[in-house]
Amino acid sequence: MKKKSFFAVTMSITLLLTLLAGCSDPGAGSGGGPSGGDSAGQTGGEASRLKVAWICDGVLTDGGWNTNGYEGMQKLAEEYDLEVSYQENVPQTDVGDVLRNYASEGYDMVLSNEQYHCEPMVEVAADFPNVTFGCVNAYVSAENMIAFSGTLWQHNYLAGVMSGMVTKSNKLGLITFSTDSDSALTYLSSFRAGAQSVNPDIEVVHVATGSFSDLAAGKEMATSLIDQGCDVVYCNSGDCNATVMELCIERGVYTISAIVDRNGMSDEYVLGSTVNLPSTQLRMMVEGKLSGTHTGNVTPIVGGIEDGIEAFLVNESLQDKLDASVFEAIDEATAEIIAGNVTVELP
Amino acid sequence: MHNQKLKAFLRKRSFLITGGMALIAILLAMLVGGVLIMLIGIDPILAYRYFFYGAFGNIYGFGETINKFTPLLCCALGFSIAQKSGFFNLGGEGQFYAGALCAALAAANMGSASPIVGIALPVLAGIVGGAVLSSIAGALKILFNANELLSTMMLNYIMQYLIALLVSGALKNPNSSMEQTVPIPDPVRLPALMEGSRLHAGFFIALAALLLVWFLHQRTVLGFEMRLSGMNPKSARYAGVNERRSLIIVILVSGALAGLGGALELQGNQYKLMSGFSNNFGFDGIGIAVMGQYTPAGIFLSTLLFAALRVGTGSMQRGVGVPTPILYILQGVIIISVIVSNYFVRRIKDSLVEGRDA
Repeated sequence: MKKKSFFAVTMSITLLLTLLAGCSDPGAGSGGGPSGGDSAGQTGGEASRLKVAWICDGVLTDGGWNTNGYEGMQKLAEEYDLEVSYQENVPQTDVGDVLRNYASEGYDMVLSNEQYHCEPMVEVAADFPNVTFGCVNAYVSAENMIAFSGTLWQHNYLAGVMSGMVTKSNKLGLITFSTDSDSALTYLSSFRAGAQSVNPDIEVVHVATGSFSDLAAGKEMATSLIDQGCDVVYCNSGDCNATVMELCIERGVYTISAIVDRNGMSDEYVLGSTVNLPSTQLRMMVEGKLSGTHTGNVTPIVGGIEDGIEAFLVNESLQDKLDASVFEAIDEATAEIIAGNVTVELP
Repeated sequence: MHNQKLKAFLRKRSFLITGGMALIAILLAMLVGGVLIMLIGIDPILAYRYFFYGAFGNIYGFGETINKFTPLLCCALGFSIAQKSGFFNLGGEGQFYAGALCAALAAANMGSASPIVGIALPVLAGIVGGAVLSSIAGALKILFNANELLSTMMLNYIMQYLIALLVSGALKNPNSSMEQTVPIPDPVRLPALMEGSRLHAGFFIALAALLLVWFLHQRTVLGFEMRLSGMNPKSARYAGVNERRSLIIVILVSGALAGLGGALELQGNQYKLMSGFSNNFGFDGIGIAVMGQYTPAGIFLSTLLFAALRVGTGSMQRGVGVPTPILYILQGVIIISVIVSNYFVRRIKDSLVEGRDA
């Protein structure tokens, strides 16, 4: 016992000294500090290499929104030799801190994958005029912040056109989080307008889940829509989307994926996916900064299918299963939207 | 004998053993974490350098660490003082919210107040808010002998969802799409102390609270009574301690401390209320108090560790891309190792006592 306790104390004092020495090292020593990633082992270190930070509020591996943004950043890093750093799972209360951390650590660009980060980002951007910020789907912006957002209607209109072409019952189902919010009404009016542009007799039944995560509610709504005779069901209500799609495939009813590409779920019943991909916007931000042509816009720039900010991805495996007129109608509507000949009444 | 001298030396300075063992525990845990980090192909040394650099190595990061330290310390003190009197206050999270809510309400119309009144009034409101919430659980305990573990836990949920309701309704900032309150006006904000960092004056208020709690506990009759009723309620009653009175005071002080934490976080760091405002400060406070063994120095150091973990792990991810699950594992391993090390501390201390040596 005697020897053991003596040993423990000696060890602890030694370790304390080691720890203290270790603590002061990165700040003072050569190659330490924020640029340590460069100097300690890795190659590169040219002064011109752009340092880009990217954050998201969920996990990288969500298989949807954040995965798309992260993979987009990785692709950009390779293509343009960027130094990319990320922080995932950033809670709403820490957004400002994390953005400030990056800006003060010498990053040239600080980007976020999350719409609701745009408000704290505007505040932080004011303190770091030399850093370029950027936020996907932002609704506010600043002089040194790049902000894009989608029209929210163009891809839905195209989804409506396709649904209108394939429906036999002339009844389509739409499920959203609520039935009276602006975004829900935008979804309804554009989806319906698209469908009615090819078939004026079509009716859209609109129901709400009241939740982004209550999968049972989503299933219940989809079941009632199918029982009412809807033969296309389109759901945009968070986690419910995939569940509703599974149910539709099971029941042999057409369905459409919202936000992310889920065309692979079925080669028979998934018509397509209405996507608004963060990777597209992130690419536009990074390329704008690299070329020096775009480093900020005080009002968010709204873009649609022409800019690639939004898209309706038709399920390729339906090409030989559906009549060619379906695809012709989609192409025609796409051309009309780009030509500016389509207007949808928005809330 | 040389060894005898050393033992006598250590008996007088047992904090060296406790501190030493805690350090060994932290280093072992970091070793485990380091192996994990290495397994996913990241240089662990570089990762840890980012950890220390992020938490202590630069003025900005150091300020962030201290800013996390402040609310954590208040919550840990709140849990600790109640636990020592036998009241298990798991409601630090709710009391933290109550404090922040009351401070926000008091702060809302103080745009033209003088700085001293502007800062002091919301802080006091926060203290009162925390105390009011803990007093609900306290009243249920004293009047109906309701189990405080459950009542304080349930009050956490009530406060958390009350805040969620308020920030999306009555208190929502009409100029923002986010569910949050209007930022508190400038005179109410705790001043920043250092150029190049966001370190705010709430740190000193929290330190003052630590000293006050120590003084109350160790140097006043009331504190003696509190400790006595915690150690053995029956003998306290026998010794003439008004057990009920001392319990009521403990419950109020405990809630007040967590409430103070909420007010300081609001006025020094976040400036506005939103859902998730607390980010587990109340619950971490419990872990800190246990880890620090309810002693002032222990709580101070454990709080510093928790705060550094919050800030340093973020820096590890930004620096070399350590994924979030590994960071959580690292935090968990460090905390468990330190708590286990307390067992060995007791063994060593026992071995130092004369006569018990084998």
